[in-house]
Amino acid sequence: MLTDHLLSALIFLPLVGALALLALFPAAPEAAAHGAESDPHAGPSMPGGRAAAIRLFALVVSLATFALSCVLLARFQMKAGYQFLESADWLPMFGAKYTVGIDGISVLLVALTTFLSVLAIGYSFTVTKRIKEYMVFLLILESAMLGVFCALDLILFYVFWEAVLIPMYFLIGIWGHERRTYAAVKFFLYTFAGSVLMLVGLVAVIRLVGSSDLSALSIPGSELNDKLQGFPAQSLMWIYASFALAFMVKVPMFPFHTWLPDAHVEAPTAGSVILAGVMLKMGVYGFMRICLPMFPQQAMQSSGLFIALAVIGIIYGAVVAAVQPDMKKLVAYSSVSHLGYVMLGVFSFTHLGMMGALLQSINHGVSTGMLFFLVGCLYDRRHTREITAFGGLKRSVPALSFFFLVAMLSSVALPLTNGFVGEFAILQGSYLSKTAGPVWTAVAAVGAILSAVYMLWLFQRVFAGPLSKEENRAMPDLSLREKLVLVPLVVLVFWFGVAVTPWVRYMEPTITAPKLVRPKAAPIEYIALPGMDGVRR
Amino acid sequence: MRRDIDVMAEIAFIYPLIALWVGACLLLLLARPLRRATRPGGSAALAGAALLASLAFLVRQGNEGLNVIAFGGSIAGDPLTASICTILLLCGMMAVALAPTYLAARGYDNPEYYVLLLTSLSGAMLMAMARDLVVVFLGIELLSFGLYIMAGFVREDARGGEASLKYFLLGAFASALMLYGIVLVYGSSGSTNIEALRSAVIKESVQSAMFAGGLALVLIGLAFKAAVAPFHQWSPDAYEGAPLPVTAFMSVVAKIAAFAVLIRLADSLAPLHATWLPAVRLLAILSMVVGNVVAVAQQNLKRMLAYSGVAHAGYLMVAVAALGSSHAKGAALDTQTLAMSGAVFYLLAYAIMTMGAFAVLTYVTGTGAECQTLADLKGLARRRPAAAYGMAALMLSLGGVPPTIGFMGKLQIFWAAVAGREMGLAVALALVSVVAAYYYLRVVLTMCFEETGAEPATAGAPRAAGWVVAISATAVLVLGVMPGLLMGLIGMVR
Repeated sequence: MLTDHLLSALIFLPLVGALALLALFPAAPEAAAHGAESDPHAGPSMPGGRAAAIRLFALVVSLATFALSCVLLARFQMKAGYQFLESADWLPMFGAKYTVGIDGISVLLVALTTFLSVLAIGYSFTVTKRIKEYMVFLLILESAMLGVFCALDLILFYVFWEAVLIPMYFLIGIWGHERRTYAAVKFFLYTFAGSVLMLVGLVAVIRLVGSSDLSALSIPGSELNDKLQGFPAQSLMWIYASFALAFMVKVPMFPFHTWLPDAHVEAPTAGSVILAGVMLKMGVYGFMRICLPMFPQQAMQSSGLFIALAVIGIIYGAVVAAVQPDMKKLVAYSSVSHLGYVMLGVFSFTHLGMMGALLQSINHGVSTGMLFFLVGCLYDRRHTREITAFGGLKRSVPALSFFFLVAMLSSVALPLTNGFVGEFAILQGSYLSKTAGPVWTAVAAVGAILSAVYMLWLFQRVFAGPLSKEENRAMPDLSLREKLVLVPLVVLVFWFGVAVTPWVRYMEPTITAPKLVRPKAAPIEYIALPGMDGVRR
Repeated sequence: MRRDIDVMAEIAFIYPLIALWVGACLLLLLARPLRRATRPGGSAALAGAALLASLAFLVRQGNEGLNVIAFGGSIAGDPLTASICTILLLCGMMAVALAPTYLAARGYDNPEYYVLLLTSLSGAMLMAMARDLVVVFLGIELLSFGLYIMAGFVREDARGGEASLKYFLLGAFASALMLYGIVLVYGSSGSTNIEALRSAVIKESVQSAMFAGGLALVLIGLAFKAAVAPFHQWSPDAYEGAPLPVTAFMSVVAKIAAFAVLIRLADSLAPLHATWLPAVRLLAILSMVVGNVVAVAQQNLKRMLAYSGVAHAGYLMVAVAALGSSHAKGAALDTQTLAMSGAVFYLLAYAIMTMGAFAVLTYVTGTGAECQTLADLKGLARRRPAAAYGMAALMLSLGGVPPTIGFMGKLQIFWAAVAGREMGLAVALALVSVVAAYYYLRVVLTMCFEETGAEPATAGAPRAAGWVVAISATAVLVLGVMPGLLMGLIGMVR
């Protein structure tokens, strides 16, 4: 039973958990009216115990989901093609089915989602405001994101894609910082505007080929895919543009990135982690799952534009990050820069570049997630994110400084950390590719230097030097719970850094599968890469 | 098509209407005891019973009611009729449930209100059944006169009076135009029967400007009733002034009935599409743009929902255009079916969403002052979390965000538009829905994000309205995920 429906169980377990939360902890009108600011001993019920129970319940649900995804990783067969496929009739009038399945591209993203969700919920134990709603929205968000990565039907994909916006909108809007309302609306409208045209494109594709079966459409050389290629190039270009726009906004690529700093800065810590760690990857995933396999000619034709935008994003994000006075905004802009690398890898049309892009997607989730957690820890202690409010913290909070050091080094792609592996693969791929080539790669590599500039400078101003502010002297160091959240991330930073091979095995067969990189790019046979020694073809 | 149908069978076909009329008469006869009853809600219960009886008759007809021509071809039953009538009856039930507490608090929970509601509803159903322009006109008048009076039912309220008068004057003007149009059609073709007009059109025996002008006037009359821009001017004022339960009723029922006729005409007079398709396209674009853009500026929720109703009428016009376009371009039959079932599905979705939204306002109003503005909803998530999140679901659905019924409806309209090769309209619909998302989300953020002090929950929330909120919000989500549950109803259209 469970083995047949493992993916469905995985996708909907958090949602069921959220509904159970609503059912098990009905609203206590009195407690709800007064909320967190009321004295915990005043009411007849025990708000404190209730809140703890809610937190624990949510944590257990997310852990169970994570456990399921571990089963998934263990049972995943290292080969190309979709696995754990499930299909059921869903919308007969459109011929749409409920089809889910994963392959080498999505399996790691699924694992990343469940992993970061556990950490986000674990970190959020300090949230006191409307705790039940908070956990419900986090769990719904997890379900929706898992749905995006698993859906193998165009309409199902779109439903999950848009559904992700709703819980995130509430998370930013209710639990965010000062300008949360503005940021929530901007986030929603920006991404919604990007996606509505995709709906028109999506309906057009389904009308053209007569099927919404993504599991076939996304396989180059399949009957449906060939049928799609047979339509006039101009119509396909318009449809491709509608998809690409939606994914570009989500990634976000350079001219469409303006929603990101606002959303990331105003979101609560867990929201920022999920946003940066998982939601941006939905855009990358869209390119790899839909744009490239379904519209290879169009993607090839537009690759010049995308590579230019990616490289501009790398440099621009890094330069803007360097001058931010706000730590969280700095990390947010660094995401723009890092996602530029990812897109460079995708549009290099080489196996190595795409593998690097996927790896870097995971890495960025780990390292930026960690940075957001740490900035959140600092904010919890001082209620400010201004860099100038800190200085010399390594004397008062050594553990926090250590974790920040690791996150920072991973973010600047130091060898032996995960960031290096992904970034190196991307740059090597783009160097060898016919679409990007040495010149663009050289410019992109400058971004790596810039990232060292803004990150090291940030570390220096916040943690190094003498303890400049008196109020930072008594700052408490990381609690056990916070350490428990951060340690798994540190483990991953080094695991990916020194022994990435087991992870690459998951994605390699899918990415190097015949014809995924169909346009006549340089076929990459094998390029030695530190930590990827086992990957021989 | 059975022509030799006997009189009793013809009458049996309109049992659903008769049930409503009998209910109305009973309410009038029992008016005195009902007024003296100590507990309010007796009249509403009787009206609800009449609606249930009507629905039972409709269901009992089953497949037999799907292929009927009665009263000399002026009334007929087909799947479109059956599904529209079902939707109308469901709306009627929700409207009845919203009324008692609200009206009782103002001292107007009179049986007459329900008499008007039932006759109005029967007029709407008559429009869905009509195969003759004269019967369409009868239905419109029956529908409208009830609405005119209901809009001013709370007599002391000056705004209600204004709404009633404005609605009446403009409505009468539109009716007159429509009647004139019917006369022109009759004068040029010699018939008002839609089937007869259809065959005349097919034989190309009528091509005169008089005929086209007459149809244009009919179209304008219907556009007025459906509040399609630029004939929507009455709706914000009428919605704002009318009592909440009346606003809920008229915003939904009038639109559904008018669109039932529009869909029927678009389907029947298919060969004419070359002439009137540009007009339908223009109305669709105008409605979508005007409705959504002006709604952004509204602080009053009733006005906002009025403009959003204009916008939704525009979406429905896209489906009508797609229907016409697929006829004109000789597309496959399934395309036309998709356009029709898409439009009907959207009507149902619109009915649930809009009824639900007004139910939330009625629920929050309780026995107090009417909850009308955005400010009235501030911090609702703390006072009444269930109602606030119900409203959030309804707003997201109106905005067409998955997984809601509003999205499924919009998807079907997109589908029909793309299939009918109306790509321009599809793109326009996509773009304006971003504008729409802005003002719907503003309601959500006012309720959920903004905090007020520890304001006590308003006392005496009406339970029936609460149920309407719960049912509509649940339906919006469940049908948004599994619209297949409805396909029994919608799939049989055509």
